[in-house]
Amino acid sequence: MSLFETFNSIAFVVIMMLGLYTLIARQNLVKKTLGLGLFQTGIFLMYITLGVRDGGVAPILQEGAPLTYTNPLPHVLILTAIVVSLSTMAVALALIIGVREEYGTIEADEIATIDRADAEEGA
Amino acid sequence: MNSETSMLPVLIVLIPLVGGVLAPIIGRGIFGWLLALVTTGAATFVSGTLLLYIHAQNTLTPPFAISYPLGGWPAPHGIELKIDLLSALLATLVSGMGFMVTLFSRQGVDDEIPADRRRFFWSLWLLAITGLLGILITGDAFNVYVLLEISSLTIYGLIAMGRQRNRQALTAALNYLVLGSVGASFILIAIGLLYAKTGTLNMADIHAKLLLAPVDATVLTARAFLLAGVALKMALFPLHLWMPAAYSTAPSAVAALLAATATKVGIYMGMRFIFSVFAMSGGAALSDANILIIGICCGAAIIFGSLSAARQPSLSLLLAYSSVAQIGYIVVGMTVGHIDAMTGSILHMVFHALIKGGLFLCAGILIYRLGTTRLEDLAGLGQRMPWVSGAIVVGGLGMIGIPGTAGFISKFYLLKGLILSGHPVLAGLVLIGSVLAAIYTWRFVEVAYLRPAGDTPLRNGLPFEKFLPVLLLLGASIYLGLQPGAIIDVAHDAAQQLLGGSP
Repeated sequence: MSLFETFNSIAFVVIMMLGLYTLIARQNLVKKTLGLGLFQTGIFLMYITLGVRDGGVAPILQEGAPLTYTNPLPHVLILTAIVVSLSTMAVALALIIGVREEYGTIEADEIATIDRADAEEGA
Repeated sequence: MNSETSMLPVLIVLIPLVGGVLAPIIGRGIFGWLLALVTTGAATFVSGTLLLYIHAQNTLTPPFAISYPLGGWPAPHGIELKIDLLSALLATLVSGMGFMVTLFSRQGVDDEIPADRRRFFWSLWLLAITGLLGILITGDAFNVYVLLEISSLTIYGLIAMGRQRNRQALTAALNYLVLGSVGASFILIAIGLLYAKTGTLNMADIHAKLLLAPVDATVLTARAFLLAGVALKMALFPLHLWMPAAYSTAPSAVAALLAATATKVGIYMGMRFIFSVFAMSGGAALSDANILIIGICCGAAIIFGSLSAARQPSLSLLLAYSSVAQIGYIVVGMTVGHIDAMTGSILHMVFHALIKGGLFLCAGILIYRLGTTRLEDLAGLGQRMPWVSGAIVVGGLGMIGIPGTAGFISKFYLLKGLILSGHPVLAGLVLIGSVLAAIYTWRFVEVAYLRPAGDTPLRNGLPFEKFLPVLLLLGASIYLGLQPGAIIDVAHDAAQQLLGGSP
């Protein structure tokens, strides 16, 4: 395992955990969404690291090139996952706009208080 | 496979996909509903044909599965659609439930979704069904992730469309989005680790390569991530927190579709990965520690879900918490890896989809006519809406598992399998769960039949097209309870294929 791989392996776990912590600990819905984005970015880094080989070059066939190529497949896969992550983010932000319109706040704890008050009023 | 049926596998996803793309363009007014009805009906026909074909072939030459190379690129390098008996059975179930709920929901959607949003509703609706069907028939691990996200993203949007009736739909959808994305990301990590280990994404190929390599930390980590992600998606206790709010605030059609299909597809993913990808040669797919952990989760799901269901203020929430318990039954059956328990698990998936789908449709009728499903507003429902409350009681009996209903057959197989495989404690939990189901069903009976009629005004008549799907679904559950031969046959063969280890 090269230095690059070791560093990346540690880095992607750290990034993921930072994202997960933000997701759990923050009350602001936009910050929660950013945490989710950070969490997914960590996974992108993992996939990108998977494809790398020591001394590998871009997998383009050319004369006199070295025989070691990086594996393009994980990169292609993660391109799809990036698009998915982007769409998730867009849907989340659209929902947060709706929440702001209906509740007038984007703090999760305040929304919970409003919902509880609604439930008691209805009962 | 002859030339007439050779295109069928890809049509299962292609038909609803095309419908979903067309819906925003031509889906104005009633055309959106008609389009959804035609596409889900066609998908049901195709998957039903495949189910019959595969079942017939499997009886002749077991194990039989259809493999379809997308774009003509053969597996393992190309993406392969692989349909075995379990895939075909669940694809028929998902598209059939999609058809039934679509049939149900013309007026409901008119009632609950603003006019300018309806064509987008139908688009999301069909794309969600596309994603769910795709997961069932693909043989490629990364494809599972992409299709999972297609179905999840559209379902978040569908749940949020309940904001007209209840603004909590937005927070419920957002909650589900955050938890669902974390779950899907876990599955993505697991697929990445499997790729790192085996260098392939085709499920059968991964399985073949895992059999040759020693089990090491990479495989175990992948399995742990996968189980956690799938448990989130199928709402297995204690990862069910997104589900009750989402089911009770979503538009009634969406709640019925989700309850009947989305969690079932999550369970299918679990079954497929555990038994067709991770299964070790000759041994059980899960270690004793795994079975212990999942068994505890299932037991807690059954007890906690049933007890919570008995304390809920509204019928929608009661049904949602009862789903938490029912998922416990299904998962406990697949965990022990015994043929009878697996048969029971597959049967329970089908029956629970029929019963719970029918019950959520009843809740939809209540919302359509009363505007609420709060239990205190349902007082005296037995006199005011005799047909609907009768249907709810029939569904409730099916959930308890009274002999003569479908629920009895599946629980019988579950119990038999759990006892034969040496897990009497889990079998005991299944029995206790049935008693608890009787308690929460009784709560509805008590409110509907033993209390004086309430004064909540009734709107609209009982539309026949709304009650027809309820009759068909609950009627099917009774029919299958009395004549279970054929479906047991299919479920048993599907369980056999699954436990045989090859996808």
